[in-house]
Formats: sequence, C-alpha cells, structure tokens
Amino acid sequence: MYDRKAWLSLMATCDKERISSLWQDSQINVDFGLIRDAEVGAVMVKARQGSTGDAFHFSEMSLTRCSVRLASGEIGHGYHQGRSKQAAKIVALCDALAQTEAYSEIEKKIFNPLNEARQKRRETLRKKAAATKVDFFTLVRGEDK
Amino acid sequence: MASNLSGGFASPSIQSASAFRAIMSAMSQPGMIVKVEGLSPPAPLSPAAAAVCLTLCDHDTTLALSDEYNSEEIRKWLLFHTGTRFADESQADFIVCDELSLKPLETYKQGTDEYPDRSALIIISKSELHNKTGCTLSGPGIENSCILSVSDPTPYRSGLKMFPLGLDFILTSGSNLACLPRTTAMEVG
Repeated sequence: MYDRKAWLSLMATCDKERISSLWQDSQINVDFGLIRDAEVGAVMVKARQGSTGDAFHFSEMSLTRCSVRLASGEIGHGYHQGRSKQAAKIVALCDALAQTEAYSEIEKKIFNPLNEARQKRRETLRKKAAATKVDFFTLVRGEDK
Repeated sequence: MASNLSGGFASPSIQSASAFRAIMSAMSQPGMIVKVEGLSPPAPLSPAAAAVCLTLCDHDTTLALSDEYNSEEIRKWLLFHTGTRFADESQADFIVCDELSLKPLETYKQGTDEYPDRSALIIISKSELHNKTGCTLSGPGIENSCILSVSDPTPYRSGLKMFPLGLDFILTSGSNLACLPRTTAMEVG
C-alpha cells in the first residue's frame, strides 16, 4: 500500500519509457480533461552534505508537470523529472486513478513494477559505490614512544 | 475532492504575456479601459481580477483576499494557478477586494522612503466601468483629462502617504479593467 506522497515520489523519478510502456500494457481507458496541459519547467534541487548539514542549492533540473481531472471529479497532479510531456500526463492520470477504486489495479500494474525497478537501480548504485570504497588507516609510527 | 481547478489560461505563456501587456498599457494610460479575456474563475472573482492575479502573482509575492473572495474554492484556484502565498492585508503585495469592502488606505502597505515600490497593488471589483460619467482624471499618461466611472474619489485618495509612497489601484468589472496609479489626480465631476 502506497500513500499519495509515496506514489508521486515513485513516479516522479521513474524512467519515462518504462512508465509509458507500463501504461500502454495496462490497457486502462479513462475519460479525463486537462486542467493544466503538460509544461516543462525547471526546479532547484536542494541538498545537504552527508544528509545532515545545512541545505544548499545543488543544481537546477528540468521537470515536467501536468494536471488532469477525471470525468468522476478526481484531480491528479503529475510531476516527472526530465522533459517528457507524455510521462507527466501519465503520472497525473495514475495519481488521479489511484484516488479512486481503481487503486489496486494501478498499484499492481504501475506502482509495483516501478518500485521494483527503483529498488534494482538503488541496489546497482549501492554495489557500484561499495566497490570503490576505500578504507583509510594510519599505521602507528611509534615516534611518540 | 470536489474543487474545480479548471478555467485557467489555456496557453499560459501566450495569454499571460498578452494580459501583462494589457495591464501595462492600462497602468501607463490611467483611465483607459482594456479587455482581458480567456479565464473563467470561480465566482465571485471577475475574469479581469483573475487575469491580474494570474499574470502578476507568483511564489515570490503575497496576496490578500477580502472576506467575500476569501473562500476555500477561490484560494485553491489561485494557489493552483499562481503558487502565490496568502497574507494579511496589512502585509500583502496584492489585495483583491470589492469597491465597498475597501478599507481605510492606512491599512495597506504603502512602501517606505527607501523603497516606495514595496507597496500594495489593490485589485478592486466594481459593478460597472465606463468613461461616460464620474471623476475627472489627470496626470502622467493622460493627455488632457479623462473621465472614469468612479463617483467618489475619497476612498482612493484619502489616507495616502506623500508621494512617492502610496497605493496603486486596478479597477475591474467583468473582463474590463482600468488603472488608477498613485500619480493620477482625481476630481469630482
């Protein structure tokens, strides 16, 4: 079970081809209107050194956003990293649908595969980083004795 | 979620640029009535007042809504389309109110001697806006004089601090708007 924050976060950073193909394969047809057509913009990414220091501006990145309203009234907001308008629209649709009784279908067909892909990506990154880890140590030189 | 967020600019970059141009023309020629269309905001917000908000407000500015506009629906709509922050009317950069709910002008931010531009812009909704009868306007941007349908200049002119401090007004009615910057002199008749 994902909450709204979790599924938006998951979809925001997912691969655009992956979410497009998952959406296509899901065969979900839905009646909707655009409140805000997909538009590309930039956001400032903030970071903290070692996750504990003061927040600083790390870099700008491009981001596409889109908002839709389903015929049944639910409003979905889609934010997706990069410049893919199609992906942003799919994210918005999934966000709206996940607020309806279609949640379990969306979870099964979209969220779970994306979550697996994210876990895998993180695992690969972790392994790559671990392979380059260097342990520094200093031999006791004994001058003080 | 029953709120309705639709009714914004269909092509935001083009429409907000032309709305900006219209507002700028109106501000540089006080009393001139211009039309801004393309929005259908939640009632009772007028299309022209909404166009000013959507064009000028963003996350760096603050907005205050007077009581009749301070509904959940209007706040959500403006927040969605502008990302603006809401503030008290003594602090806000933009004020949306009715002609009748305009408070004494000392209530609003009128700038400081160092930064007279840090003053509020007041967006007022009126039942009608025309150039047939009303106050005579004169000053920068007006060739000789001009008539605007404001019956009494007092609410717009009493309580203003000495120039260059002061307040600027945008009067709206439906899709029409006209401006009354602080430099414009108003006379009855």
